[in-house]
Amino acid sequence: MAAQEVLATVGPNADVAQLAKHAGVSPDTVDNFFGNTETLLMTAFDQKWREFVEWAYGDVPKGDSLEAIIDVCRKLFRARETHPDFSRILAKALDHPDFVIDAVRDAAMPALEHVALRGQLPSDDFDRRAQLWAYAIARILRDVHATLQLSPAAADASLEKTLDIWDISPKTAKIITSRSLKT
Amino acid sequence: MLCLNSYNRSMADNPKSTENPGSHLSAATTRNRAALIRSAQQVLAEIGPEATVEQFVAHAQVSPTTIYNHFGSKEAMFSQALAQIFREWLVWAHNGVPADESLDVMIDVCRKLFRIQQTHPLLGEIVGKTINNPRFVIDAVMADSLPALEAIARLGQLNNAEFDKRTRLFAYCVAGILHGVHATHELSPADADVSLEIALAIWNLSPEAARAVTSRDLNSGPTD
Repeated sequence: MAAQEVLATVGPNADVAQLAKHAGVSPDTVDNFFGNTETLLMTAFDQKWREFVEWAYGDVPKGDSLEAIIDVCRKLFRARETHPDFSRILAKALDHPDFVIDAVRDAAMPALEHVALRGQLPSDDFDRRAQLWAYAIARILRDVHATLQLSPAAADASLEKTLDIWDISPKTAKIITSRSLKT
Repeated sequence: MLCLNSYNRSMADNPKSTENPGSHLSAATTRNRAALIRSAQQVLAEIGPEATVEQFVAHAQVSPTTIYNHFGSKEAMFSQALAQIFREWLVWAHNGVPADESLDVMIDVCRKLFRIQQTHPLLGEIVGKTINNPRFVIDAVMADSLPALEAIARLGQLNNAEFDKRTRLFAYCVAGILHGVHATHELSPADADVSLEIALAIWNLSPEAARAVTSRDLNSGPTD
């Protein structure tokens, strides 16, 4: 999809002219179908995200457990190997975490909310914690996919620290960020 | 760090030390550079760091080569423009108290950053337009921010283990809060204080300590 290629090469700030050029259509066509460039790019990102998440969960139901969510996070840290196209998109898109967080909110929040309902995450200040956690993960993903400062294993260790935001004990955080990942 | 800084005793004694370095430059060059910085701050407030060279030169009424002669690149100019207004604000926010004195002071300054729409509207507009790109903002203010944070960690008020990791995560959490306050306006300053309280878990601060440190009276004077 042209919009996904634009995300990987230009990023969320791409304008309608850049999009139309990649797609080989007129700017009016982009406007007519999607209303505006941002909506198109968000839709493109959301689609790629959902494809990855479907693969990452495999047979495990979304929101089944905190462990399942953490496994998916850690698979995101390894997407350069498993899903290089998605990794290129992440690398560009994560200059603008608000874009990424807005784009995946609908896909990601139900699983988190479900895990909170099950009591594995605190329900008090849930939205605040979710927003802070999303930004912390965005930073880790940027270091993994854009600056390449973090290896997947180093990213796991950072993820362990972010679980403080959810009042997860250090011992539990270490355990659930060290599980064997089934691919 | 967004809310942390290297405001120190020498800056308190000599606020002019916060102006652009470059005493070797001629007075005319310094004036021109200052005018460019002011224009860059206005463009950051109106458009943000993605403003094109064309948009900037139309605003500042200068030739594109002027940017490159003074700063080397548009990105460097915008970064220095943000760094400078942030540094000037820090002098005000600290009100004479050194940044590396205590965690309390650092958090007070952070909370004042949530309230700049009222106290420093231009900086508020700039943060609102730039914070969707935390990398740009953090890069611009990091050099001024890290030493105080390191000093506070050395004092034992923050968990010093894996300091760099925690710093990166905390900086993005604060960026997320600032985005809510100044870009989307979803968070009031008081809401932002509560989010900051939670974010302090990154430093292993106890909930009680985090609540105490984010609930101080911001109008009180220096603590010593």
